[in-house]
Amino acid sequence: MSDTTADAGPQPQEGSAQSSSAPDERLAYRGVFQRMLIRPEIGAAIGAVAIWVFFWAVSVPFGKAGGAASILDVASSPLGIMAVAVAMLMIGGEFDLSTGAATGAFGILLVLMVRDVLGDSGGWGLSLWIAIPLSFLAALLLGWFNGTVVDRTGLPSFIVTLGSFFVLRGAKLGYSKQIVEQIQVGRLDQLLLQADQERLIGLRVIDEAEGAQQQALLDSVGVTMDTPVPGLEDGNGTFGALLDAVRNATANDNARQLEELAELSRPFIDRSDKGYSTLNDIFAFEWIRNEHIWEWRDWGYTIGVVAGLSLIVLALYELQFKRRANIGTSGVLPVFGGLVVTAVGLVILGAGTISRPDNLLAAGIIAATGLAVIAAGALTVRRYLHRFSEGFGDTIASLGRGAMALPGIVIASVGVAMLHRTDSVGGNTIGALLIAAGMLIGLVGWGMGRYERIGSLGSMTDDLADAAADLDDEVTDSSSSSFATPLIVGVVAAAVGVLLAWRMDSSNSTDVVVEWSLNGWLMFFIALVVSVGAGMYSSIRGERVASELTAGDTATSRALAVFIGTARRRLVTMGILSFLVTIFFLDQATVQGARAIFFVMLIGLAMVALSSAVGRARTTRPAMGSVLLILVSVGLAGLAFFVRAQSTGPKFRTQAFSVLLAIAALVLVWALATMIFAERNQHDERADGFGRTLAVMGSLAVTFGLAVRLLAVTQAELDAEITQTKFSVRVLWFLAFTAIATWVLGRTKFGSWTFAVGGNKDAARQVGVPASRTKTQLFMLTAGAAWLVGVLLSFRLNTIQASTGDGEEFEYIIAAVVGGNALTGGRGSTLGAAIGAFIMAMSVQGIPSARWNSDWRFVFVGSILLLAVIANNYIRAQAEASR
Amino acid sequence: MKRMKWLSLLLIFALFAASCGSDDPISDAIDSATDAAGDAADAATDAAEDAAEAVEDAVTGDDDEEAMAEEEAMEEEEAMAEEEEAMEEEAPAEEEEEVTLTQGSDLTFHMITHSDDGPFWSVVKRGMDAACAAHGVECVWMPGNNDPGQMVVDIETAISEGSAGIAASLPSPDQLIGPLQDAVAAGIPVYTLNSGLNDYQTIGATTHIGQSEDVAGQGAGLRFNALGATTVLCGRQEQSNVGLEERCGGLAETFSGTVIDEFVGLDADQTEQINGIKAVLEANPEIDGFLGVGPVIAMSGLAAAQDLGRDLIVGGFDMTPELLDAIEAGDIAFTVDQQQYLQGYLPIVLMYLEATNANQAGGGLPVLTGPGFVTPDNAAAVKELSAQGTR
Repeated sequence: MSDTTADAGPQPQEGSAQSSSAPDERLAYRGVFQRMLIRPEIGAAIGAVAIWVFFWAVSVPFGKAGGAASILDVASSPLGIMAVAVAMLMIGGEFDLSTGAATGAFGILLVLMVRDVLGDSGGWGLSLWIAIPLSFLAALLLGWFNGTVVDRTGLPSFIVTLGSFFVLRGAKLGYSKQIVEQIQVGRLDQLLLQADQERLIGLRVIDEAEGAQQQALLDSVGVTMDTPVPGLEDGNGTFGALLDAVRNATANDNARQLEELAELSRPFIDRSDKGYSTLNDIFAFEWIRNEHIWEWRDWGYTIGVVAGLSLIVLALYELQFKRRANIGTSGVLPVFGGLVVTAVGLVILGAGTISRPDNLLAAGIIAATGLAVIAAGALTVRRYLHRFSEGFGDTIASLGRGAMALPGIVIASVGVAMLHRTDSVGGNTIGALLIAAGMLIGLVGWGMGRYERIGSLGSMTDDLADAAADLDDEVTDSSSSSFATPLIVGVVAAAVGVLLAWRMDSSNSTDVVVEWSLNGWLMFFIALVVSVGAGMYSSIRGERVASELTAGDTATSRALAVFIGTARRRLVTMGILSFLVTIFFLDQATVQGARAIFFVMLIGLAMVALSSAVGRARTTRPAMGSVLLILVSVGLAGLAFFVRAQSTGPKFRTQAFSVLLAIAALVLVWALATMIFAERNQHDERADGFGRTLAVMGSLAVTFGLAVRLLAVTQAELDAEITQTKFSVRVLWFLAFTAIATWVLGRTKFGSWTFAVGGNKDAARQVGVPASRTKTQLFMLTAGAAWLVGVLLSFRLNTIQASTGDGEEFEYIIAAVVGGNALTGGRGSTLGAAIGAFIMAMSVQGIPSARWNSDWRFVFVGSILLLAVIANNYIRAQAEASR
Repeated sequence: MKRMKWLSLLLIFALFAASCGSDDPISDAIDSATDAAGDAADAATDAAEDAAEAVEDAVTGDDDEEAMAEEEAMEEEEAMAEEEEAMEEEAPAEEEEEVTLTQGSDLTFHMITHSDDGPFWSVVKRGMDAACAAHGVECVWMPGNNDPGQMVVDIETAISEGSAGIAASLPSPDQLIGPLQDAVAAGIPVYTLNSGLNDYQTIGATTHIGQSEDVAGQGAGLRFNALGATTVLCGRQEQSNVGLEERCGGLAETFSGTVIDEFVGLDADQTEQINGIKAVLEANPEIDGFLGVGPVIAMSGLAAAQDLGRDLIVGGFDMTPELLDAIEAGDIAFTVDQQQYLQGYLPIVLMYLEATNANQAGGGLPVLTGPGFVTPDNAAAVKELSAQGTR
């Protein structure tokens, strides 16, 4: 799908509504959210978060460290690495169907290369240090072959690579059986066969032929007859003496002496490990979480996440609002001052509230974290140091204004600490309120020193009055679709939700209202068919009905017309979807449970609708948008408290509650900020640069926090006998590979060429892009990635099945597509492919975690993937329409 | 919005499909599979008759009959029908003499399997070779490489060569039942081996030599009882393989505790398989046993248990060197061995006896070669035999 078709796609009526007012869309400035939304991976990212939240809610082990480890494992290798490589090739406009089979093929090749030089089953007996680069060369050769054949013959790449696929598949089976008489090639961890070990230490009767083999083996591990053997007799024995002793013991059948001698000869066997132990650490190192106790983990986690999220919020401010003319470097200082205060405050809290002997360590760790943050801040400030000389006075002035941020940060920190230190419900609420207040004061204070104020309060009220007039106009003219539609849907849904919750409140009733049997399902299905039919009918006929009703011109008929004319489709589909989701949860619903589900569904729907209204209102009536945003915030806060009051699961009562409340507070703060500060309407390189720096620092801090939580346990968790969790170095390989690929694609000439040849090869060639070479190099990249996966697999499993990877190539392509890559080339993102791999991994891991019947697994996976792709396309279409 | 509508429609259909399922999907799947197989077999027989007519019609240039034959097997059946006619002309004598006792030395037996000559089938072949050498008969090994078309051709070749006995495996009964019935009609003793337990009587074969998946699963269930497991995860490496589901079904029949039967990921992606098992283990902390219904998935189960630090009783099916090592080390409790050497050896012996002594073994019932078990006690011995290629 090209850009133009996506534009013209699903939502034409929205695209045409306002865009005509802009003078030239290419020059139009886009706000930070619009810029984020048109990233190709944004839909996938939102989908990934949604799937994670969904499985977190329905399954117990999914959200824990063990679940995270499994998801990371499945998403990293082979799926993630291959998806990223395949995405790059797809952006370059080609497919490679040989990738799946190639992963297994290079694993087998590697094992065959290093296996036993003298063993019963063949192999080259190379050192791993030679075999790894050699097999990499073979991979590059395959890629070169694929690329060259595609280029020279002009055949579609999937035909050519399908050929390679079958060749590889056949070769894997053929060679494994030819060489080791198995349909698998194995034991990378036992490079020396039993027979060779026996030869090496002389256990075998050596005839002339075997003697030559033994000599070769001794040469290969660098041992001569004169090599001293530590521990033999008086410690000065030679290897030759050891062999003699072993032969004597074998002849005399002296088992005990043989055992001792075998122990002495172990170093010589280990010497032939051909680099395995070193490389095993590089390719297959595993971090067992249960062995790494970090008692102050939760503090590290909290500080990382809180500091990181604040930095990201500040980055959003920086990217969204208009800087004052005389800002200097001032704005930078209060925030880092604030972070210092945060760190100090946490140190005090850590030292004061925890009366345990090891609190010195806690204080130290917290202080170190604070120092690290400050150091990072100082580095950033340095970039802006030259501004000091220009307006020192301004700096002081804005520092004064921005100082308001400091108390806010302190208050918020106290709130965080309280949430952590109290178990009581009341304490949690106070803590949460403190956080919200602190955020409000801190963020507004930060803005006071940094951004331009919007006009007077009067202009805002005028704006609101205008918006109200618009709303009235739109109610009468139902064909227009501005913010009125979602606003009405949102308000109605919220009202129905509250009403339902109020009416159905039968205080802890355990009456069963729904019990699903086969008949129940059938009835439900019939009801669904009817409602879908009604929805479709109203979609088709709605316009006419609405216009007839409008003709009536009474207030009631007008309201009804709006309802039917604008909200019908959304309501019907949303209603159906919420019902569908409902029944996934319901086997036997109590009144209480049904009420909770309906309330959450409806409020969720209201939030989505209101957010949509906000987005639309903001384009013309900023003040109205801010007011609606406050409404969203209130709704979220209400949802949070409802969840805490009604949910029986501790997961929801604490975690979901605090997260929801924090989001509500953030939305509120944002709404206020948009009312006070002027938004940017043109590019500002310095601000963008600083905003990006903040965002990167924030993301790193959040990552640090999450890593601390995932990689270390606390003694309390160990005492509670949590399941063992292992993290593998493969995840790092995957992250590094993704980072490099993203960098190459976005920042290098080769990356630009990739986009160019994928978009239009001939046009690219016309402007001087070496098109054939670029494509061939892309094929070499996917083959290289397959090699990396093959190496990782062989170090992980030690034995590679001949069938390994066959048919998996489509999974890689699917992951790339789910991540927002176009099948037609010229567009996409490697980061998206990585996220796509995560979505696939979460789908396959979530189903057994949630204890769903595995017979339906592919139905679930299919639905999830379909949803992810649709959400992705929908979000992108919306974003492109709103350019 | 349009997309949302399509999506909701799709979901509705999925749910409708879900609502049609009963509580016991496994037996349903087996039932429907059996039904489907039966139907297909009937259809195949019909198609064969149609095909025979079509061949006659084809001589006069009438193509109408072709439209009637709907099965994919049509062409093969047609070829078979032609062969049949040819064979009737060439070897009418064999049809007339129902019981002809022959001297052992000039007997030729055919073993037609879906063999891929992998580690499993190479053992069967060694069994056959040993039996043939022992009885001084000539044997022809015809590996079909999982291609039913090839096997049909092989069977027809064996019939036309005047085989003294045909032993065949039936991975896809629909295509093979017809040709084997022709062999029976031609007076050739037919035995089925390895797979074909449900169809050997339809064919008119003397008996079936193999392992019933059901019985193998039952044996594993008794093992788990003896080892003291309470909840066993039966992990499958394929989503819709009747044989694998029967193994898990058999386990559930004899195991006294709870059996959780899950598809956990393909052998082709062992990373996903290991993590799939981990997810089930974490979701069900009460699981204390794991049965992998293949050798690779058994190793995956062991890896998953070790990753989680759980102490599971792990059982497997079939053998690989790794699996035997793990059993010897005590990490895996047992593996179910269907002793495929017997599946090569016994048919030759039985066919020899039927040809030379008119014996018919089995009494209409199958001859079971398994389940044999490899446990830490006999692992070392089996490993040695496996290295020699007879286990």
